[in-house]
Amino acid sequence: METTSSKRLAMSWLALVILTLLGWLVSEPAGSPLMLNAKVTLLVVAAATLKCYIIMRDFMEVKPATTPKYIRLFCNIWLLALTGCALGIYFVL
Amino acid sequence: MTAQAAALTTEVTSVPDRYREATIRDQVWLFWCIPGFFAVFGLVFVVLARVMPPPAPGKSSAEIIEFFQAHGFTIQIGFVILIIVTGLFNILNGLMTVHLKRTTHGKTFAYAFLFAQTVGVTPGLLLPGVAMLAGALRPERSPELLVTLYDMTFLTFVGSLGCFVTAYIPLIAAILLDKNKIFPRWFAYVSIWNLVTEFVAVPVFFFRDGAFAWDGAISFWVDTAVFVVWQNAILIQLFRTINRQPPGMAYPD
Amino acid sequence: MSLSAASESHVEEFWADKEDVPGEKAMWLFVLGDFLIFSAYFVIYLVQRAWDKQGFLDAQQHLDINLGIINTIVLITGSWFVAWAALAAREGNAAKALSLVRLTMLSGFIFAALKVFEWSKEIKAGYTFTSNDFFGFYYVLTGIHLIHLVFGLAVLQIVVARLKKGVADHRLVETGATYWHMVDLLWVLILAFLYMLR
Repeated sequence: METTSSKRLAMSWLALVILTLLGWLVSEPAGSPLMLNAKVTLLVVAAATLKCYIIMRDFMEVKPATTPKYIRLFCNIWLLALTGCALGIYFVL
Repeated sequence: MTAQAAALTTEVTSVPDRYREATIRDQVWLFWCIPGFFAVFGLVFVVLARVMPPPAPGKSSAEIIEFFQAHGFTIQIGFVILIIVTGLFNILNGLMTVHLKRTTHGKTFAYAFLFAQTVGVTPGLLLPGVAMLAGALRPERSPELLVTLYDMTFLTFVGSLGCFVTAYIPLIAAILLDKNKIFPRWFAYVSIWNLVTEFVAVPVFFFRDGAFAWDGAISFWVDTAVFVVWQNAILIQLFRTINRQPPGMAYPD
Repeated sequence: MSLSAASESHVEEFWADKEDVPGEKAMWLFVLGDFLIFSAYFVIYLVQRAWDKQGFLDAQQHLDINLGIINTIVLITGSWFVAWAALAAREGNAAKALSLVRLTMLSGFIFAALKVFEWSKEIKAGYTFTSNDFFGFYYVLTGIHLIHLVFGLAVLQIVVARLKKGVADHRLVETGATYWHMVDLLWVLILAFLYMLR
């Protein structure tokens, strides 16, 4: 079973910062007009989902050692459903 | 003499129990007025006056005149009933206040809750009712005036949800700080959902269409859904709180 | 019989507070429900956006993505500190937990200050609540998020007050931390949907 350690927390923080900066890199430089871009949208939503997953698993400790199964299920299904809705609405509507 | 003393003692010791039973009985009777009120409320707003779910803010004046003409009589019947029963909503506030006063910080917070809650009832129930009745009284009056009354009805009805925000703050504080365990802590958290979503009712004053208008997905539908959850939560836990009052319970003033 | 003792004997807990989640169980009910409420807001926003993608992008143009990124890093860092504080409290180290929770509160204040600065910048540039649909959502979503953050600061202040007395109450620190992580997580989604989506 995974247990939380301060080292682990620091690694998660680093991952979150890197994912955030990645989003910043793909954003267009200030001043240039924003264009419709499905690839960037996909990347941005994927990065946000991954960040939420890391926050839930490492910071909120939604993992087997600390939380019951129904809460883990709820969190993971919720996150997947929201991501699915975001992408579905973007690509279908 | 001895018998007299004995009778007196029995009387004295039996008073708290009788008092408790009577108190609980009174409260349960009053409690059932509240679901009764909401049943009448639903009948008036949904079936008779047709104002819930609210019609669109973007309607033309011709459509608004037609609305008053088509539903004039049921609007009058519905809102006259509402004017008679509106006071019943305050039974909820009264019962909540009685029990909030039993919490450790309740002597102050209970009144803050009671009066802030009462502020919301006037624009939430009476103002829309009177505006609709005024419209239905003379449906032949000039269209601009009818449109004004129509706007006023829905702005006060949906927008007044913002008035309740100040009532929930003392409610949440009283429950979370309480050491007597009068109300369950989860109810305080459910009240925070309600507080935050009711903030979002206020944009109705700015928008004539879209998600923030008075019939909008955010300002009306999400808000109403959370309000229904909260209203059920407050009734369920109030009922349980009433029934688990300790024997010999003497209420603080 | 004292009031407290009398009612204590009559209490049946709605939800017995077993230690099977970090912090108080009622807080988890709140957090998970709040996820659902925000999801409803996000879905409504995304649908309206999908109906007018270019219109929303033209309005989104006027947001300052750099401020959004800085604020994200500020919040993530605060979240890290409060998660660390929960670890310290479990080890019984109240002093360490106290300074970490204070750092988290500092991050919250920085976030709020930057947010108010960002709003004033947008308002000065003429983009207000009623300018267009995008800015309506922008002010409402960032606004209710800020209300959550202010609540979070109040929760953390309660945690700080307890830690100051030298009590390493890990349940209380975890409860505050769970709330704060929710504020962080919702911001990550707001950043993606409002500032970065194309």
